[in-house]
Amino acid sequence: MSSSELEYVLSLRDANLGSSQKRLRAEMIEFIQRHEEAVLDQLRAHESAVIPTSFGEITLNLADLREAVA
Amino acid sequence: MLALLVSFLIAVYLLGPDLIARWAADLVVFRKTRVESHAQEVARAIIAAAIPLGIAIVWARWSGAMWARGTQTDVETVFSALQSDNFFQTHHQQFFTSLYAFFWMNYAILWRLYLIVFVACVVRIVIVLNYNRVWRRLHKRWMRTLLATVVPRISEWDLLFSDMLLPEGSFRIMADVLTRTGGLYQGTVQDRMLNSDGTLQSITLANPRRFERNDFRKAKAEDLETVPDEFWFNIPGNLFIVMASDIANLNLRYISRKPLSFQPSVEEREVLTRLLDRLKESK
Repeated sequence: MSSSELEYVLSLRDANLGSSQKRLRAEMIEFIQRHEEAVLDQLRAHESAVIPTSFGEITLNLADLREAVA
Repeated sequence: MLALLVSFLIAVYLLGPDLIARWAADLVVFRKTRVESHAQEVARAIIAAAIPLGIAIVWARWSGAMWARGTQTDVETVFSALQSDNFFQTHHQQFFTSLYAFFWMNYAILWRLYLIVFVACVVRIVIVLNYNRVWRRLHKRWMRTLLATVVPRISEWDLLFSDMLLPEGSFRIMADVLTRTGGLYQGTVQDRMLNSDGTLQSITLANPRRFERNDFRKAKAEDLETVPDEFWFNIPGNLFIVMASDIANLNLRYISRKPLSFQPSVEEREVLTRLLDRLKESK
C-alpha cells in the first residue's frame, strides 16, 4: 500500500468514524425515548441497560451515562 | 577469501540494517511480504542502507575515529593480500597489521551505522504507535501523505482491522458479514488472521448474531410493517470465525466504546439528563 493510498484509506475511515457515531447515538437515543421505562428498569436492576441497535446490542452503563451528561 | 570478506561486508553494512528495520516494523504492523528476486532484495537493501551508511561514514570521518586506527594504505593492503597469494606472501607481516587497522576502521563506522538504524527504528515505532495523534495535528494533505511514508509496507487488511490508528484506542470495530451462501452475520471484530502476503485469511467475531433472512422475507410478505430487528438471533460464544474465502461482502463500522460521550447534542443531552433524573427520583 503506497503512502497516498494509506492516507486515502485513513481519511475514509475518519469520515466513517463520525457518521457511524452519529447514527449509533441517534438509534440509542430513539430507543431510550421509546422504551424509557424498560431502560430505567434495567438501569435500576443492573446499573446497565442493553440497547439493541443496527450495530448490535450496545450496553449502556450508568457510569457512562453520568459521564455523558457531566 | 576476498569473496568471503566482500560477502561479510555486504551482510553487515547492507543486510543487517535492513533486517533490523524489518524486525522493528514487524513489532508494530503486519507487513506484506513481497516475493522478490535476490537482486531486487539486495538493491532495496542498498538503497535503504545508503542514507544511514552515508551519515555514519561522515560522522566517523568528522570525529576522526575512522582514520585514527588506520589509513587508505591499510585498506588497500588487506584487499590486495586477499586477492593475490603472491602479495600475501611478500607482505605477510604488513597484512596482519593492516587487517587489525581495517577491523577498527570498520568498527568505527559500524557502531555508528547500527546506532543510527536503531534510533531511526525507535522513532518510526513511536510515530506509528502515535500515528493518529500526529496525523490529526497535520492539516495539509501533502504533510499527511509524507507522514504515511513512515509506516512500513502495511497490509491493507491490517490497517482496516487494527485499532492502532484509531483515536485514543477506545473504539471497537463492528462488522456485517455477508457470506457467499447468503448468510448475514454481525459482531464485534475480535481478531483477524492474515496470510504472509497480507491477504485476509479469516476474521473472528465476538457477540455474533445471525440474520434469518428467509424468515424475515416470509414475515415481510405477510405484514409489510415487519421490522428486521426481530430476526437477528444471537449465536452463543465469543469466537465466531468466518473464513475469508466464504465472505462475499464486508461492512466495517468503527464505533466508540462510550458512544454517548462522543459530543452529544443539546437534545440528546436533555433525553439523557431526564433519564438520570428519573433514576434519582426512584431511589
